[in-house]
Amino acid sequence: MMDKDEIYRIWAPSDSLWSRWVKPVLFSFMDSRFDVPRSSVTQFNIDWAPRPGQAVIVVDLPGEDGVVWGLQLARLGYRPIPLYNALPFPPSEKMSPATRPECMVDVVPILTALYRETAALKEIHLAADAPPVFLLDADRRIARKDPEPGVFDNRSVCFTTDFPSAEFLSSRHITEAIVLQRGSNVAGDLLLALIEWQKAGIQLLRKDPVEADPPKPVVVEPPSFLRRLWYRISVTLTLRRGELGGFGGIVKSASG
Amino acid sequence: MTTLAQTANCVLPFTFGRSLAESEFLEVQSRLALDCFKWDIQIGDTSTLFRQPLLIHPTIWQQLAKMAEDLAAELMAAEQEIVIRPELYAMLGLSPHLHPILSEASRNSAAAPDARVLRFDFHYTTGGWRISEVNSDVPGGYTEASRFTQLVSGFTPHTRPCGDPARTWTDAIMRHVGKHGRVALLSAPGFLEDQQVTAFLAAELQARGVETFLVHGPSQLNWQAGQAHAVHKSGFIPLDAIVRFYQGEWLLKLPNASGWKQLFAPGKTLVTNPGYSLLTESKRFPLIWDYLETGMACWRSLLPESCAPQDTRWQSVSEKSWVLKEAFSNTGDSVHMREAVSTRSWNALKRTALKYPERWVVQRKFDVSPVWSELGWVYPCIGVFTINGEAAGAYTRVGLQPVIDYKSMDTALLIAEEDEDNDG
Repeated sequence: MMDKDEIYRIWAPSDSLWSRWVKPVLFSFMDSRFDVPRSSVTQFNIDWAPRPGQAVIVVDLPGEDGVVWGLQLARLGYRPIPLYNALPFPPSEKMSPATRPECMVDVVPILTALYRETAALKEIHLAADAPPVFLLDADRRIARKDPEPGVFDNRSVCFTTDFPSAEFLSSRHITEAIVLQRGSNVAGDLLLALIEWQKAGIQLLRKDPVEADPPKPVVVEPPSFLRRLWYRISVTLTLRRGELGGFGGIVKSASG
Repeated sequence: MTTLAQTANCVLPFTFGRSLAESEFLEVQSRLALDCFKWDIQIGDTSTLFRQPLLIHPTIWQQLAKMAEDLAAELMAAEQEIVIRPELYAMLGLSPHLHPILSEASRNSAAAPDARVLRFDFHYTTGGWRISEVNSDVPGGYTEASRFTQLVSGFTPHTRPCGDPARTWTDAIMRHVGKHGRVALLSAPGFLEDQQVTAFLAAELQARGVETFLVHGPSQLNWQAGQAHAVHKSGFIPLDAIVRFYQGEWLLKLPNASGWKQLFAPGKTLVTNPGYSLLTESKRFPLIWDYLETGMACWRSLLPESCAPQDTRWQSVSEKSWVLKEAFSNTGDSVHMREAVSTRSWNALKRTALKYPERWVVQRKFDVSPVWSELGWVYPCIGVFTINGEAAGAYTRVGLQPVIDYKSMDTALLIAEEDEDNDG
């Protein structure tokens, strides 16, 4: 059985160019108690993915799907970079799965998928400069439970600063970014990062995993004033701060 | 080992030590990320952990600690005075929603709480030590000031940390809640940088036997007759303390139904830092000093001159010796300097500040003395913690620019132990 240090170093090996962007949150929970079920994702078609070279991939899929797709793309030569920002449950050595509070977002399947797939990733010998496939949870901002007292609010967002800058990508000769997601609406928090990349000349493409079509070029735009206004109103009504996943104004500005 | 470094035009009271070797750095990074909840080790293209410790002589640390304690004493005395003088609230730029609540709190005696944490941001300038601000409301940096510093010290012979604010803070909380206490730690949803602080502090409390609850909104607390409760599967659990790591000005923007006002009102449950910390968190704090009986001698000597936006001295086109700050802002992102923005942006900022002067303050700029490092010249900021008025350690950052903002890097401030060859 591997400990959390070994698991972390398999996902973030010191010789990989992209390891420093791996978010350590879930790896710090790898010594918690949790069950590890078998994967429920069995259908893959990665024929659309270009050979590793000048593209990065952003997988924005729910739950364990991101991890499982990341492993499939690793077999093609991409380095999976988990960017999960959510706590799976409150950290406490005393808590067992039975005594933990309910959570607004089900992050445990991602935690267990990372744990389960570590052995497989270890067997894939990726080049130090293998291009990255960034892994996000498409459900990160969505509360599956009402925010009632006693429910652990583990909703999260991704920030522009979770990703390498466009300048860094360009310096590594990256010219395109493929977003693997269901549907056509890019999540508001991810949109900001993509806009920055697009401004720097990186071609954006979108791919739906359930469709047979190849990735399609897309142009993303800043949200309109009315859309931002509506977002802010909805944020207020649902007791969420705009920065939770909003449009515009997502700037690192944590406390003290 | 010397702790003096020569810069372009002055002798500095600190210098950088040896850079951690790659294996040492990876060990420090892993321990922080995996054991100490330090999850923001990479921001954009910047690794937030700086590999070189900043070394200071013991007497320099004593000077800093003394100045921080004097500042804290003045601030806490001023705070007790301001809270019973509602006529000053508006001058601080405090939301009108808060005036009656703080007024009510003052009638019930806003006594100094059991764990009052402040962090004073010191900079060494061409004119000596100055502070840019106090983080009075929700000061952060415990993990970096405590565990990061310890880990780096372990790899840096003949040094020691200048404190352990996490342990001092935990001691203070333990004195209030006792060994089997119950504590909720509150931070904003979605803000991982804040949640990593509450997770770290919760772990420190758990290690002492305290039951903790991480909550991400005031609506998740239940209040009954001034007593706060956490809600758990087993029912309502009375809390001995609430650790508020949710910025006061953010709370004010929540609907009343969220129950945020309870955090500002006097009650049976300790709230730390207390809600009235917003009074001195305001960057407009210096604008009311002349109205106070509390002497502010230390503050006056260390904080650059401040004035209201209506003051004309900063407004001329050629004037570049002032910075414009929002009254409530927690990072350098809301500090604006004339030469750092376009003329158009500066004019827009100026118009906004003059339209809403109560939300802004103007402060004399100081010139931070840069220090040579392996990355070239960097600008250190030493955030000295005081806990219940006593210096407890320092959260130190370095920036590639004079303003400390989210792109700054954390560095370990270490006291260089004197040896026979050199007394510094």
